[in-house]
Amino acid sequence: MRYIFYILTFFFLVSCSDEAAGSEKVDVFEIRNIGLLATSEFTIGKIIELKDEGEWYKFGDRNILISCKAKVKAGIDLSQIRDQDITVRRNSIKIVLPYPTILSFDMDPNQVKTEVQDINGLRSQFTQEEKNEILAQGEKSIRRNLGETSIISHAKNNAEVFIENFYKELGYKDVDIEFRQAVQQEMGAH
Amino acid sequence: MLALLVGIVLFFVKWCSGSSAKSRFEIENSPIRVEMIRNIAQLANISYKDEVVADSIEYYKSENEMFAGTFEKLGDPDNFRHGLKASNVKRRLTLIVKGEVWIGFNLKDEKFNIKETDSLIQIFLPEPEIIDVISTATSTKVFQENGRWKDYEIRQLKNKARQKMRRNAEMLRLQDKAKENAKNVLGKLIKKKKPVEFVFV
Repeated sequence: MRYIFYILTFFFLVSCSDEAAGSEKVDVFEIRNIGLLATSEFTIGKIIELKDEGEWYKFGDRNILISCKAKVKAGIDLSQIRDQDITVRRNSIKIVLPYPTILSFDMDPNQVKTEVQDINGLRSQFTQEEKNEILAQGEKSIRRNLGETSIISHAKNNAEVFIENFYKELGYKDVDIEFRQAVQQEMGAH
Repeated sequence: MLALLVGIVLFFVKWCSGSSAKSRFEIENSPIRVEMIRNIAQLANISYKDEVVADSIEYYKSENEMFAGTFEKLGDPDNFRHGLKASNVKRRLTLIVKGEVWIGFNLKDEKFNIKETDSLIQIFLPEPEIIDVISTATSTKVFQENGRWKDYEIRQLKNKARQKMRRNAEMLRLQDKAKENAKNVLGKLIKKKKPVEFVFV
């Protein structure tokens, strides 16, 4: 009987331990020189819908609708341009630009709103910690679906126009712009 | 006896896994909407990553209010642990917010201009400014939450954190670094055999 108690206690303690401990990545906060040319900004809205039916021992459920907006910028990293990417011949210039990527992803707290909250049974209100967790799920969902929008092609066209005007101002008659091959990038990496 | 023991352990295992799991919420698969598209031309030259703490605290105004409030917390499953030890703190919310501040130039500004003479190329740029303070829900952590908090209150606290990051960046006076870096980044694009002068207006 005593051994069964020890085994069950061990099982209980192991099940409650934190699995991810020990493999955490540490952020480094620093000032960095960058050279990002943001050429397109998309404001993306999403309604986050959650139905929390809870666990078997919780009576009642909780539903919530949160609306949020994310401001996403895309463009090119000018610091990746190498000397061999620019070729000049008299009045014409050819430049190979890095492929546009998502440069920043921001969520303005003023654009987050709890639209509907429905709590019944013996369930408690959503805490701010829980709401932030739900919002984080919404953020991940927006990041995952950014590829469905035209933000990259939009940024590419705008970058082309900007660079062309830049060189025309410098007196070049012909400006030939090419882009390097797209590198697979997780959308909204920053 | 054994059945009771197994029942208790199973209950705690279930309770424990339910409360400590990081992704306990699964949201519905709803669409995203593109609400606005803006053509911009912003050159970000300096990135400053920061982490700040934003805290809001409210104290009980009297001893009577403190006793009543403590009892109220003891009856509330979410705030039970805050009521175990009597304290003059009525409510407290602390956030840890990680973010990034971008300093750079708005090249849509009419001050951005290029002039070329026989002997010189002049690039006119506006003064560098903070063009973005970036933070998201995943970079925000609720460190402690004591009492009930309204949405507008957490919004104010998140804005306070962003203001703090902006102030920290301003105090570091990164504008000069941004100017230097802009000269390098834009200078690299110019292949003419003439000196290039950058003028900040």
